Amino acid sequence: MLEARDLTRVWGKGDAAQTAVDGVDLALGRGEVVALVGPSGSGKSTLGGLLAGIDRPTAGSIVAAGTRIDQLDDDELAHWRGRHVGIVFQDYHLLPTLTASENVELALKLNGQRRGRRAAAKAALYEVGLAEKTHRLPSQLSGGEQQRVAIARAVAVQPDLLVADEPTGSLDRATGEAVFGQLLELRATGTTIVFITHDDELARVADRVVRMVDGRILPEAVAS
Amino acid sequence: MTWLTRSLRRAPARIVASVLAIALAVGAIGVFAVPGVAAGTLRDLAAEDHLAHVAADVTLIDDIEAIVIPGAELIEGRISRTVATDDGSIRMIGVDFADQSINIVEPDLGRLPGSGEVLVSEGVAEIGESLTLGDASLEVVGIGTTTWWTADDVAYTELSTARSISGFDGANRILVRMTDSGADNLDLAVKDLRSSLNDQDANYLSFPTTVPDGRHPIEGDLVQISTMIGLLGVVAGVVALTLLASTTNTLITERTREVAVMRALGGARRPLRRRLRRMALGIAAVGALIGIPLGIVVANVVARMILTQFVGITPGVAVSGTVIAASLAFAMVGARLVAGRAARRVTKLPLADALRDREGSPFGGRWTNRLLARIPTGGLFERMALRAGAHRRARTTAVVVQLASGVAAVVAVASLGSSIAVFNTAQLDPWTWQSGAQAVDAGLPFDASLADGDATIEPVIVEFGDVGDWEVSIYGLAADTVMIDRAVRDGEWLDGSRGAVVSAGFAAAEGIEVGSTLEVVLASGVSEYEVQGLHPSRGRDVYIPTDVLAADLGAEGRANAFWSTGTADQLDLALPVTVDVFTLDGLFAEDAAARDLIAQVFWVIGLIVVSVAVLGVSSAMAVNLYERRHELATFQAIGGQKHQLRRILITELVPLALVASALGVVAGWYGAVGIIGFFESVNAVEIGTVFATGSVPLAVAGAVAAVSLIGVAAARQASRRPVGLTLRGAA
Repeated sequence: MLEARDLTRVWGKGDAAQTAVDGVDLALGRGEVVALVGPSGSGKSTLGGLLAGIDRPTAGSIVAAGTRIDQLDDDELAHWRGRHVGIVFQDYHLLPTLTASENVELALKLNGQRRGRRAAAKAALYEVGLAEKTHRLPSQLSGGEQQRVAIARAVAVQPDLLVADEPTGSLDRATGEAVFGQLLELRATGTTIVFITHDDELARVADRVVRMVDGRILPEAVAS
Repeated sequence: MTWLTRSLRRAPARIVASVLAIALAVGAIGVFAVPGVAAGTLRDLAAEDHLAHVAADVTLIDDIEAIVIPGAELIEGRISRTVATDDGSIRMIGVDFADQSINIVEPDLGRLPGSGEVLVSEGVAEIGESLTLGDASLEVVGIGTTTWWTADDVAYTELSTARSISGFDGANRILVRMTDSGADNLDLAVKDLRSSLNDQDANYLSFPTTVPDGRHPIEGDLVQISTMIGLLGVVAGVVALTLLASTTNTLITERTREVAVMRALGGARRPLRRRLRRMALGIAAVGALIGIPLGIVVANVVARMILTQFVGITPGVAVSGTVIAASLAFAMVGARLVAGRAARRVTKLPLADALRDREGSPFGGRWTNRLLARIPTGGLFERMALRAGAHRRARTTAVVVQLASGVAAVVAVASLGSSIAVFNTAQLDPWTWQSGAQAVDAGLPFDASLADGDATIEPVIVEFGDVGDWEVSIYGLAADTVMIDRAVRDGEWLDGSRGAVVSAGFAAAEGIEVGSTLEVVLASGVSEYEVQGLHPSRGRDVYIPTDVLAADLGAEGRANAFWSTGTADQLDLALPVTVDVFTLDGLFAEDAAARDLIAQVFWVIGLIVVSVAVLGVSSAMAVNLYERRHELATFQAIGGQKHQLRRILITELVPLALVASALGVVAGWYGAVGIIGFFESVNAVEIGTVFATGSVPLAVAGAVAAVSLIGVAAARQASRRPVGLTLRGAA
């Protein structure tokens, strides 16, 4: 479904340059669930951003369904993200002036859906337990509730690739498990899921665990 | 300063842009200096040439020494006469060059003339050429003039040469400089001079010119235009203040996270605020250093336009110390006030929020936000745009104020231009004559009966006088004249008795009513008339029966002009002195040319104001984009494309442009009404304000186009930074 080759991302320039991802090769199959784990600063979030197309590699390539997404221009890349990717940010990143429902509707609109967006948004929010709070603004929701809206926004578009950065970081264990369960249900529709976590227990539900250290992926034997 | 230097190294473009924005804001204040710079230039010239405080054309006098004016510092007699040349006529002035002390004539090229020689103003002839003056042929030995006659063609000769050419054996022009040149003292001097002339059986030939307080005689002609420009400076000032506030605010807001980190590490709020204020003041100081010279350039360019175009003087560079000091104070005090407020806001933010440097105050904190979130206002993009405007009220207000100022400037400038145009035309509207011939020199040289028998020609007197504190135009016209529309607003037209008809606007300003007695100071002294009617003419005009006025001027049965309802050719009356022949169409054309010049000056200032306004809106948008960078990056992260971002930003700005246009049109109109009203009151004339309807669609379209372009640029800027990088910064 998606294949990254010799992926490198360097932040900064000259003496201040820091290699966050260093020559990573990674192939993701359709419907596969991959956990990206590793210590802080190991490059997990940067790799997640590259895979989701919100960042561009300094070197290397990413091919998704036959398309070199690293070579798309800004608008083509945005279009690709809107149509094929769902993203759950660690910091939620909801649009502050839109209600919970409208945040989800916006993702559906950018996904190209023309009809039934409001109903689909409400359904997605119902699924994450926010049926009563669809008209609330992000500032009127708790951190956990915002995280659930962010998940609903990502799930509602039924993406081909879902990248989630610490998706349950702001949730209590019970809610986290429930919500994460909903994320995993997407695999049934063929969505490839990449989630970044510090939680080894959560990582166990993945089909594959990719462990990162200093921007590199550890070989599976070493990782295990 | 260290922080400023570091900031410059870290974000040079941003700091340079801020410095330039503040410089432009300070530079715009230079518009205020235009009247001062123009007047200063003229006063320097007046001082240089030792210009007269009183100048009077008089009947010939032999003994200048016999003139006594208490308090007079210098008195000089000259000969002034318009004489024929090979290709027309020229004013000839006879000067005692060895002893000239007033209205000093200096050669720019060549030398002062001796007997049988002449010095001419630029463009009349070249050095070495011969110039025919009357029956004499003189060699041109110098080019130059005195600034008193700056716009005129003049030939200066020795007194003896002028006497020989004119046949005058004395002096017919008196120049006086007073020790105290205050206006009241000059009025007394005029009376004393009249009395002294009367002692020699002489009198004024025309109303004397008085120039008080070191002014230049043409300064009065420029007061209105330059004061109008100064008032437009108020609009420039408002826009500049908003730009300064917006830029300073940006500089500090951008450091929210940096300040939060310092606070987290134990930095106290007070020293942090001080540091922020110092940085803003440092940038404002650099901006002022660039802006003040820019302001000097603006003031001098506009003043140069006015002086060159209106009075033919090419001035040197002049500087208004007051405006420079005010500009510096504006930059420093303005930056200090805005920086203080912004620094308080930035250091008061909850540390956790500030460290994340998210969206500032959250949307939804106010009931208006929550209400807006429930009102269906178009599609998702439109809702985002509208709510973004409500979210950042200060920024929205800044954008609206700046756009409104720009629109107001356009509407005010256009309305002032239209008002002046209509006023100028309206001043000529009552006249029904078509051509005229008027004696160039002072006095009433024509026998009024010369045109008897020709119904299309009338003898007329055109003079000046004083009513109260005002100089007025005095017209001697027949009671049954056909040279003017005799319809009056109140009372009746002249009936031939000792009465006067007065301009209605002037009468209203001075409390003059039909039936009251009008005291007019003429060249010959004070005369009184009963006010018979109020005429709709727009100037400060007084109409008196020709024969009554001629008698009051001491020249019964005389006139100084003939007007005709026919063409200029029909005025061939073999008049005995040099005359200026003109047509009403010609006056209309001259007015049109003057209007074009005024329009040019106004549009230059309007352009400055509009440029500052557009820069201000761009600056406010830069702050807006900075504050919303995570929101906009998120929008792009979930698939939003550049054109959609553009649509949101334009949708956000266009309604603001429309609101600002409405406010700007109203403000511009009332601004123009206020400015015109000010001039009506200080000039005691009826000008009338004309709303420039055509400027409204232009201003609105301009505002919408400007914000659309700014929206396009902003979307481009917002989408240029990699989404991942922006969101990474937020994590």
